[in-house]
Amino acid sequence: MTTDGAASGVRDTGEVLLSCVDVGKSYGGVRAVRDVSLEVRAGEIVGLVGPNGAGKTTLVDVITGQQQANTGDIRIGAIEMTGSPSRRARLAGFSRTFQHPQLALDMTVRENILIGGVGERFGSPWRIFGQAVAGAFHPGTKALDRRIAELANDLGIHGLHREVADLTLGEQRMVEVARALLRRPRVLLLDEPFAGGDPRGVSGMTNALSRIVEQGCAVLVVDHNVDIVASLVDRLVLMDQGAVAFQGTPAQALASAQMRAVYFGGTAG
Amino acid sequence: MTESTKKPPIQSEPAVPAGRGGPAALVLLLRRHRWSAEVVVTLAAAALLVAYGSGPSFRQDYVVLICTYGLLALGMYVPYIMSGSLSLAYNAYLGIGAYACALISTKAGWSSLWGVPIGMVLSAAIAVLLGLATRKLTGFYLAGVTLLFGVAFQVFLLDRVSITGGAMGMTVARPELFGQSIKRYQIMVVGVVLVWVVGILLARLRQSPYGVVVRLRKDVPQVVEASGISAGNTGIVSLAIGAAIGSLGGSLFGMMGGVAQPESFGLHIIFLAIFMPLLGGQRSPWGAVLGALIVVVFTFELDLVEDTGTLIFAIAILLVLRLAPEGLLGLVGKGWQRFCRRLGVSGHDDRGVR
Amino acid sequence: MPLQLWISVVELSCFAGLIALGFFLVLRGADLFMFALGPLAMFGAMFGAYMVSRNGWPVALAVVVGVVIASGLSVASELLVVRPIHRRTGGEENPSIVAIVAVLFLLEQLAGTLFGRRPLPGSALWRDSFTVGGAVISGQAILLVAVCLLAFGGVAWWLRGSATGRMLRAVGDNERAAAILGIPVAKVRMVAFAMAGALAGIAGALFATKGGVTFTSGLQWTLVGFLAVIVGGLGSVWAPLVGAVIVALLQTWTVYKFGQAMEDYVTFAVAFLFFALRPKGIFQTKVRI
Repeated sequence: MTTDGAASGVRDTGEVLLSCVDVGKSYGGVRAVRDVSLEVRAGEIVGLVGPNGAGKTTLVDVITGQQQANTGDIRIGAIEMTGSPSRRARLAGFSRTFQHPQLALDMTVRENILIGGVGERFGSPWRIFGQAVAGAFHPGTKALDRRIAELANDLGIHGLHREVADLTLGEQRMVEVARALLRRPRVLLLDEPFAGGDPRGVSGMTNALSRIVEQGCAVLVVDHNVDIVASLVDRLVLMDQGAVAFQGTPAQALASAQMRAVYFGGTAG
Repeated sequence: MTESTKKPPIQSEPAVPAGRGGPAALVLLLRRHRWSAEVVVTLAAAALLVAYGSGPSFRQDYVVLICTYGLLALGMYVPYIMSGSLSLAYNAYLGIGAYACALISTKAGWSSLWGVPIGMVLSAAIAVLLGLATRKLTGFYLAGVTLLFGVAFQVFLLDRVSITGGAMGMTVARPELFGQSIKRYQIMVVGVVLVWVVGILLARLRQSPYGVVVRLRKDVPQVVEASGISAGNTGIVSLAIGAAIGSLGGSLFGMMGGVAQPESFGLHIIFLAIFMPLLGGQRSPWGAVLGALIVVVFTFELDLVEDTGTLIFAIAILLVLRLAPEGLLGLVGKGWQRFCRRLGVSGHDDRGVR
Repeated sequence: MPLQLWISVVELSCFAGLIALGFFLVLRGADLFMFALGPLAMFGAMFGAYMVSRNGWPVALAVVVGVVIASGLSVASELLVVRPIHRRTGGEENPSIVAIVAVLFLLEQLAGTLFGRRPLPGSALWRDSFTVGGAVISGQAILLVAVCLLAFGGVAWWLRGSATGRMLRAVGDNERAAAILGIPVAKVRMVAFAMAGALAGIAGALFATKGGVTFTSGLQWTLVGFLAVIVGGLGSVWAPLVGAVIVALLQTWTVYKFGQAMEDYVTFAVAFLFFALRPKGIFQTKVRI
């Protein structure tokens, strides 16, 4: 279980898979993200926490290529990602879930997961066209379907042919995780996976995460709920007012003055 | 629906509930062989259409019109229903298909069959260009610019008499294959077969990875991008496919009538093209074909009653949009689900199309 | 270009401008391109022409009732079709487009059935005409210009000076946010549709005298207005009018120079170029349209 991982302290054996160095982003005069540096290694779960408005969402957008950073350097593995569109990030081995699940409600669970595994086949307009022609004759999803069934089993998703509209929010989040995992990403970003507060979802997510890191994936969990995140990560990064306020093990972080200052508004001491 | 809360694990096939043989078993059988059932039912419908067309000569024209509109609606299906790109230049694509056959046979002296691929490629190319111009813009603008193209195309047909023959149009030579000229009856059969084949292929396409990607593009384009796929390019490819299918319909129409005329490719085609797939039902390409069938019946049978057929059709469209957005097949599907639930089995197909 | 054609340009500008102003209002207030405005103008004009020629109504009465009908039909389409579908689909764009196109189609067919499918001549409100420097200026043209300027001025004043006018933009930009702020979204949208319908009705009634009106005129009129919006942009209330002037000039000039058919090619080419090169028109707004 991951709690063991947390207790064993920071693992620094793995290769650095996600690194941000001095990343900054400002809108007009407002500096939403100031010189943030963080890294996530293979087999490690890092929690990015901070109150609303701390700059987490902006940082996520910058990492995923939805917005461009003004300064700094973002790498996935050895590949420089700064300034590339989000679809390049995926091809470099980066997967993500969304704060508000992004699923087509009138499509089935299987279909919503499937897209996570076909990105490589749709590289250029010609290949997209080729996929369309091929798809009319042969679906070509046998291997993918087997993997989807496995993943669904692992993540406790039942009824792959249900419509997503019939699922609870917690189940929808798991579908997103399955989609993100289908192509065995090297880096996984979970954006607010515990928002909406479904306790069953938390335990499911915890189990899922421990399996994922066993396979050498680097995981970044972004959430404002420190308690839940602290219980399942190896390391916590606390953001406040756009900058990193503290980095360390969950135990260190929870005991830190910065954490108290940020979350309880009290002064250090 | 209690089914969804407690669902049996994915792959296992639920047994027939105890004490409910007969219908429930039949439902399960149908569900397991859903794909075969689809093939059989649609083939039977195609056979019926051919049988109907084997009567007097005017029926053959009627059937070909249904097939033309069927292909038109199927052409709308991929870009519009699946991918969410509303292109309105379908009168032009249809026209290009017909005029390509006419030009190739009268000006170049080739078999008019050559016009089929040429028209398809040309239409697809135009669709790509129009799509590229508006790719960063939203639906209303794609709709507007394609509509303008449709208008300009219509004027072009009327105006460039030296190329298109003006209002009189131009003849499409009876197609020849291996030196044999193809009879009207044969064209009709080919038309029905074409619709059936395109329908089957699109039904499969819908379930394929491409179909899944395109349908997700409609609702959650950022997921498509986050999965490493260009949402814009995917949409443009769907526009090209749709245009090519529409052009195929135009070629069929031209070869059957033996003439390509501007009035056949007016703006009314655009309205029909949008509404047909909605009328029939969006969940399957067969909905588009069904919509085409309804349109032909409405506009031609009911026009006999003092030319109000189109008005009735327009009202019907609004009613469908407002009250039954899932379309006719959608209503049938709902009824089927209810029937299945009463039998105590899930009506959903539990496996993907193989 | 002869002077007479310049007068045509002015007339066409004012007509296209009025339709474009209607588009502008609905775009601002509901973030929709109300393609059915052209057919609404056609419907109002056909109603008027029919009543005058068949039932002997006074022209003024026919015009006023026609405008009221156009406005009423616009509101009805919002209440009965566009808004319910907009709500059901959570503001998705395509269903709204289809709903509007369905309304457009219904209006065409309804007009064709009620008033016949043959062109009807429009009746002039002001029958006098004046000769200036060899060109004939009809009283109707003067009316059209006056009404157009009044409408633009009025709308500009309304957007700035009235509470509803100021709320209009908030609703179009982000309906949900506007609702949270307590803005009566449904009412604001309805006002936008009502005003747009009325503008279309006036434009149709005044312009129908130029070349008559048929049940299929509506779509052409929609496209002229659409183009004016595309060229002008949405940056200011007056932008659609500037767009309309440019479009009218270009269309009249090409017809004069190259003949009738060129008009539609140029129309399409202009739209295509603007889409590709300057998608937000000449007067851009900072806000997404």
